[in-house]
Amino acid sequence: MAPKKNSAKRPQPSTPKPSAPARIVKVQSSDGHILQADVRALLLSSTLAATIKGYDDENKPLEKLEVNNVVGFTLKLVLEWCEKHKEDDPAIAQAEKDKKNIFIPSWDRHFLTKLPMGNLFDLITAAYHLDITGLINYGCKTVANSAKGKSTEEMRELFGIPEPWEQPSTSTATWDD
Amino acid sequence: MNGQIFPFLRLPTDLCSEILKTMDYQEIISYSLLSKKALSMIKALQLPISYVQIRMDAQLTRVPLDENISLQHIGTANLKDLQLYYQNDLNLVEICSWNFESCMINIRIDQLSLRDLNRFFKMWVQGSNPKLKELYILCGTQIILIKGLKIEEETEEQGEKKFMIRNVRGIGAEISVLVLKSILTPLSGYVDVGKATVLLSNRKLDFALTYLLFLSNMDGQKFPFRRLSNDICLKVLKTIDLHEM
Repeated sequence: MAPKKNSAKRPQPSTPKPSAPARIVKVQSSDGHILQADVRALLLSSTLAATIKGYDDENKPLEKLEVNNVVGFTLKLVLEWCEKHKEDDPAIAQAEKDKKNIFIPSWDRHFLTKLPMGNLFDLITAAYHLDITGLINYGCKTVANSAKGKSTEEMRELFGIPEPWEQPSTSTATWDD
Repeated sequence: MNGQIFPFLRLPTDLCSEILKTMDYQEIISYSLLSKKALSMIKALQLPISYVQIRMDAQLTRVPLDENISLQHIGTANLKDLQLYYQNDLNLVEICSWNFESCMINIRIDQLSLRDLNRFFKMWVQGSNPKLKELYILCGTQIILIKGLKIEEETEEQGEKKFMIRNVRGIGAEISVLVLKSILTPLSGYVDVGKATVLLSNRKLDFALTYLLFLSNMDGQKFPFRRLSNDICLKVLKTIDLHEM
């Protein structure tokens, strides 16, 4: 039998488990798109989890969550990722937070690397605003991987960082500031 | 991943740090060289890097000139090799203050000032461009102005004129005026001309072309032994073999 490689270090992929019936709520993006999501998926976001908890504590019916700083397209990506990871143990993401070597599972790698850089940026920013640790971890590692093996000049091109002399002449501020 | 720009600097600082932390050290160091801000971000990570050894093999190619970077900037940049192609504002006297070992200047005949070239030679004799080893000027004339230059030796062979001059440091140089006719040049190829290698353009040249070749000759250097103090002269003599004394 072939030996398993680093299986202990890697997070286990999400596996569907028999659980309570899904509690579906509506989520509205900043540009008015209304999407539907399982509450368990939304709980991966600390920000949304606090809001949901507030509703539950007050026994108010949760019909629609408003996410004011994420547009519909990006919110759809966020919810797709959360849906995939709703069964994950949050402790795994927390444990990986400060690690240098983060292993990205194959589904996440495919999900993140297929995105154009602009969308990846929006997704990571949205994950930051919604405080989704796992998505931040994988998103940041994907960006770091895209810089792998690149020289300074190639990195300047990838990250859109201007040359020092390309600073706007009308401003007193410089890129170096 | 699609080859697009990731607007890294628009990320919140926390996220920038998260991304940088997960990079390999090689990429972290590459990133730190981007700007002062990039360097300070890397410093803030407090990585356990005690020292970094960087070897740079710099080669600038096709530098666009604008208000921020001029010929003067490039010329004084302590370069090993410099190639200039049809610069309208080139002043041959100005290049006396430049600092390069080898230079090739491709210039249109109407842009070449023989008087300025003559002044350049005179200034070299006076001690300018001490690092200079080779200077090639490619243009469409075989006329050269040697007025005021102390020519040590003058030869002419098969239409090629050569003049020997020497500078104040005792370094000899040969000014060669080469005439090449009807050359079919290879595409961006290099053609050897005597000791020198001259880059030719990728077009067919169907006219007589003149190369002014300027080689400083290190063999002609003199050591001013008599200017040494007596003590040092004696020390030098003591180290010489008896039969040489």
